[in-house]
Parts: sequence; structure tokens; C-alpha cells
Amino acid sequence: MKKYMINLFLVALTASLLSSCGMQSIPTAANDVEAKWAEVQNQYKRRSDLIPNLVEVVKGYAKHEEETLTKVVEARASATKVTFNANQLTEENMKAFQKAQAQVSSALSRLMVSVEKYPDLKANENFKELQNQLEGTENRITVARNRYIESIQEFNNLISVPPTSWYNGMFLHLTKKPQFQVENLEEVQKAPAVKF
Amino acid sequence: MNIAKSFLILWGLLFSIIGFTTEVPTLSGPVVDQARFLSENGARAIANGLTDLNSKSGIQFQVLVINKLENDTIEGYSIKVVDEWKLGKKGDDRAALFVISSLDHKMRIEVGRGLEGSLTDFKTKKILDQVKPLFKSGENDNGVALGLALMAKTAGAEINFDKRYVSARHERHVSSNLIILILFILIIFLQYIFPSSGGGFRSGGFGGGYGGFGGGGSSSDGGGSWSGGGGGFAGGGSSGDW
Repeated sequence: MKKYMINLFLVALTASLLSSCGMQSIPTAANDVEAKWAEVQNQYKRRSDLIPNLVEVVKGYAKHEEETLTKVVEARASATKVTFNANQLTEENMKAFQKAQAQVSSALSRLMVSVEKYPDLKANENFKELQNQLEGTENRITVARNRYIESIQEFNNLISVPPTSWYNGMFLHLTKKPQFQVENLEEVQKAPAVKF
Repeated sequence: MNIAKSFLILWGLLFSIIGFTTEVPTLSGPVVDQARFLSENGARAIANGLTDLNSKSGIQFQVLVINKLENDTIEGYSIKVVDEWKLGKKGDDRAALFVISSLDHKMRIEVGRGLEGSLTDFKTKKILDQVKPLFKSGENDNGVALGLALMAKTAGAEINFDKRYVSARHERHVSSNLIILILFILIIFLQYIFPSSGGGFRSGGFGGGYGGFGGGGSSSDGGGSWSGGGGGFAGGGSSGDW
């Protein structure tokens, strides 16, 4: 009877050690990062899918915005080439991805500023809907990005802070995942200055 | 003593650096009104309507009114609230939050993934556009009720509010004023023609049967088992002001 109790105690001890050592939590966090990254890409793709329609509507009203429109189309085209899986996310790839998307953002915001000159376009129901969808998508991107940042933080903590980091050092050898560089992004994204 | 003092200073410093952000209140029922934006009866009628909607269709709508946003945008705050409250059922996620910041005059409808297909960003924007004039004229109860009724309708469901307290009728404002005006002119006109028979018109009430959202109020009480278990929100919805 006593022996049985000791065995039970040992099993419980091992289980609790295992659960806190990172064997479970590190892969879980890695999967979470993957899911959150997929969502980030998904929302950027959603924005990318809106662009052709938007360009089509604007084209009909804003005859003198050819250059702005071309920039949007070009930025979109180059951004669609820059996609990565979660396990391809090196520091470098992350930078390339962010840069490409930031270029789309800045081209789009430039377009949205230039649109102010066309009251007919702004009154167009189709355009209003697209504009609203674009706003909604930007919000979704922000949400997805913040969640990704949180999941990366969780993952990086697990693999660099003891005791879970010991398990990683011994068995998994995972390295820190790159974080979103927000300051950098905003620099490129800054809305164009209005000149009079 | 000294240690405690320096600790307090440090604490204050810390807060001044990170700044306060708007707190998420506890989820006490379908209507959480911290700003006394709604009347007591109105809030209860709306809560009952939402409890009823939830038990009949599985859709969970939530109302939250706060006083003021502190270092938060309405979008940022709204997603913080749904992340914490986890509205809807897991995997189903047919839920939405109608959040109002009373002093900022800002509002937002945050849509759960399960309703994103029907309650698109543009449709929520249109709903907020219809709520706006009611909030502007101070009809807060009816504004919230109209918003929720339109959200339910768009999502393929229906909310039955207790008509004694709130009215979720479309453009009720304009049409009822117009009807009263017409009747008024008519009465004056008829009195002018038949001065002796005017009394009969005056005593007739205008309690017309408003179409649309009929049905008696539900008897179930808001609160109690009201909680969330889902939380599948991705940032869908729209924001507006009034």
C-alpha cells in the first residue's frame, strides 16, 4: 500500500515536472505562432484582393490619377510575391514581408488622399463600400498583427526564460522568432504631406 | 516609511509612463451600462430581448456603454473587451458587441467570425448611420434597440423588445412626427369646418399599431447564466460617432 502511494507520488511529480519543463508548452506556443501568422497573411491577402476592385472604381472617375493607381497596382503585385510560412520566418524574410506590405499601405493611403479631389467618386455607393471594407481590413490587420506579436512574445519567452529554456536547449534547439518592427513600418507608411 | 514612499513614487512614475488604459468591466449581463446611458427600464427591456434572442437563435449580442476611453481607440478597446469576455460559443462565434463611449460620442459594432458573412463591415456601418440621429436627439434606449434589431435582422434573426419601454422601429422619429403633424392639421381643418363636432376628434388616441417588431416582452431575466465561451473575433465591424 505504501509502495503504491510512493509510485503515485512519483508519477504525479514527473507529470508536473514535464508539464512545466516545456515539453508541452513550447510546441503549443510554436503552433500558436503558426496560426497567428497564417491569420496575418490571410488579412493582408484580404486587403490585396480588394485592390483590383478599388482600382477599377477609381479609374472610372479619377482620370488624372493614373500614376497613383499604377503605384498601387505595382506595390500589390510585388507584395503578393513576398509570402512566407511561419517556419520560413527569419529576420530577413520578416523585413522583406513588412517592407512589401508597407509599400502597399503607403500607395493606398496616397490614393485615398488623392481621391478627396473627386466628389462624384466619393459619393459613389460602390466606392463607399470598398472604402469601408478597406478600413475594416486595416483594422483586421492591426488585430491580427497584435495577436501575432503576443504569440511571438510568448514563444520567445518560453525558449529563452528558464526553466522551459533548459528543455529547449537540450532537445529542441529552437531559436527566437523575429518580431514585427512597428517603428520601422510606420516610417514607410507615413501619409504623404499635403502640399498647397 | 521611506521605502513605502519611494515605492509609491515609483508606482506613480510607472503609471505615468505606460498610461492608464480603459478598463474592461466584468460581464454581468447582456447590457453593461457604466455610464447610465440607458434608462433603467430601457436597459432591462433590451437585456430581456437579448437573452431571448440568445436562447432562441444562439446568437449572442452584447451591449457595453462606458463613460470615456482612456488612451484607447474605440477599435482597440472593443477588441480588448471581446478578447476578455469571449462572447459567443466556441467554433460557432455568432456574436457581436455594440460598444458605446458616452462622453466621446463614439460607438462601434464588433462582429464575431460566425456573423462576418452576413453582418459585413459595410452593413454595420449603415446600421450605425441609422442609430446616429437617435443618439443625437437623446433617444438612447431606442437608438440601442434599433441598432440591435437591425443587427439581428441582418443576421437572419429577430429580437422582440418589450414595446412598452423601447421601440426599435425604423425611422420612427420622422414618420411619427409627420403623422402627428398631418393629424393636427386635419383636426384644425375639421374643427374649422365643423366647429361643433371637434371634441370627438380630440379624444381619439393615436395609439397606432406600429408594424415590424411585434410580440410581447419575454419574461426571462437578463443575467445569471449570461457568459461567453467563444471569443472568435478578428476585428470585423465598423465604428461611428454622433
